Amino acid sequence: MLVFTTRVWLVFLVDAAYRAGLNPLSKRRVHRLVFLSNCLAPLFQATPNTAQIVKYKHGPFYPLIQWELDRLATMGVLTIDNIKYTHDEKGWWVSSDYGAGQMMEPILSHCRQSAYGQRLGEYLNEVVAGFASLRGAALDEVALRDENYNQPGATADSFIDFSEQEENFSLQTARTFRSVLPAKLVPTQKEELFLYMRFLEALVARKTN
Amino acid sequence: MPTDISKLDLMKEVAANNLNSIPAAKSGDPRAFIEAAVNWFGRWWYLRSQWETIASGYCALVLNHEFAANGVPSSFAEKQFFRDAPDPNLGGHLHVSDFSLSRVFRDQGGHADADSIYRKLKNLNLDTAPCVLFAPETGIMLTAEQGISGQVVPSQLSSFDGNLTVPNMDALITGLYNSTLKFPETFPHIWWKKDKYIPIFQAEKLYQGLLYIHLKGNTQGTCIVVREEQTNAGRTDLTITSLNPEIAFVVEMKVLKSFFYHALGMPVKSFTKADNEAWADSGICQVCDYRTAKQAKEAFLLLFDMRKKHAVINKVKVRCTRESIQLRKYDIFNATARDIRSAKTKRSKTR
Repeated sequence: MLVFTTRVWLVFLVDAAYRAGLNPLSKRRVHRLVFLSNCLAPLFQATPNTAQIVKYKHGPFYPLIQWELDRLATMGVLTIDNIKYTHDEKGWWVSSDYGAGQMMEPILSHCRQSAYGQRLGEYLNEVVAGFASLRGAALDEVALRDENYNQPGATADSFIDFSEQEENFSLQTARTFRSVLPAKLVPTQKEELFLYMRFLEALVARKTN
Repeated sequence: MPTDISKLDLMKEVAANNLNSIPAAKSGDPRAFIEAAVNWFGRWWYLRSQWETIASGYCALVLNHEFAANGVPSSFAEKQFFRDAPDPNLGGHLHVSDFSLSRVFRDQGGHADADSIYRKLKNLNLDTAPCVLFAPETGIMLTAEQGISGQVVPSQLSSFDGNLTVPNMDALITGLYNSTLKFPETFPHIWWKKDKYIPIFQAEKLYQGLLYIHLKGNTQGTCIVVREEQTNAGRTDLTITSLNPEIAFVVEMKVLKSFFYHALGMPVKSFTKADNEAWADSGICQVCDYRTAKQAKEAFLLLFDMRKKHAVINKVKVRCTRESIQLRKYDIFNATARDIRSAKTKRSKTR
């Protein structure tokens, strides 16, 4: 069941990226978007496809997600282009770009027939829209500044577990916007999500300046 | 990582700078694109005084996220940094965008008027795509949720200075009333049967949505406009908040009408003077409670009068004065003066 949920998650994510003008999505960006969407899922009462990750030298990366991405591309649900093998100071890395494949639309239509599919699609649309509203230069950096990924004490290869809401620092920060808004304004879930993304963007800008 | 105190300060800064630019509609909904486009044009309008010259003529921002799927048409090129670095020379250009204004394709320009843009959109089969037309010199904006071939709602961006005062609020709302709401020529969709004075079902929602988008467009970079904010006293129609100084205004809207349209069709019940009085009076109670809950400086009750005769309701007027409510009544006509004149001429000829 988890495998199917993960695949549906990826298909919705790539579709949302297509609508938001982010296609094609680099492999690095897919993993970072999956990570951010997992961290913030409880904001929209969604269940993350996984709430655990190992802090990897190349940034957020899920071996299982990679397997499913390539499988979906082979099935024609996604497209895969620009496969390159690169080597830098962090070691070997295979980069590639993923886009919407010919088989994507019928799968999306089928998934949207269930209430679960509709809710998940709406949530992932919001995550990607919030992400796409950031400046281009910050897009690949924000996940590295995320409150879970960049939590104090988490060094390379640390195991990060945010399955309990008390340990999900991204969620807590997003919810803190309820208490920092001026004039006692109460943000909607969408506003909390968008503001959290812009907060990460501001952290990236601070680090750059 | 910043310390806790500076983190909270940064969050406050982020919230103050960004909250008003986030569309309220769901991100996959074309209305979210319309909101994003109006907010972007509002921001552009706010920045325009910094530029020495701006290009004249209408421009358009159209939604089609699949525009480049089969290759970009030869007359278009991708406009880099469209959203993040506003260009003073928007006039005369057609822009095709995704939902987030991330990738925008711009044509070669040269459109002297809105008609030229309409023809081009028709040629590109984009006449049913959600679209906002904008005149950079005058601030006139035409929003077309169902595309340029469907219903188009005009509005006018004004020169709001960021001070949340009663005269400024009046200027903003009156601007929308004069440019859009007053006559059916510019806003026919509010009537179900205009000749019989029957408004559409949930006319208040339509007024609320329109005023919300209008205020958001006009207050980019200055205030925060919230629709249906949850308070202890219920949901406000609109809340407008300025940050420096921190002041809030609450707005409640009611439609006065001669007939009440049922969503399911007939019968159409007549809405009596007593019904209208009670309806407006309920608005006073609501806005008083919102004012208390939000500790708002001012409370506005907007009455959109769609009755046959636009008589003042004295009881409501007196109570508003007593409760210090800013009462504004906007008379909505089912025909322009020209329509009425021509109808009279026809009648006299038949006699």
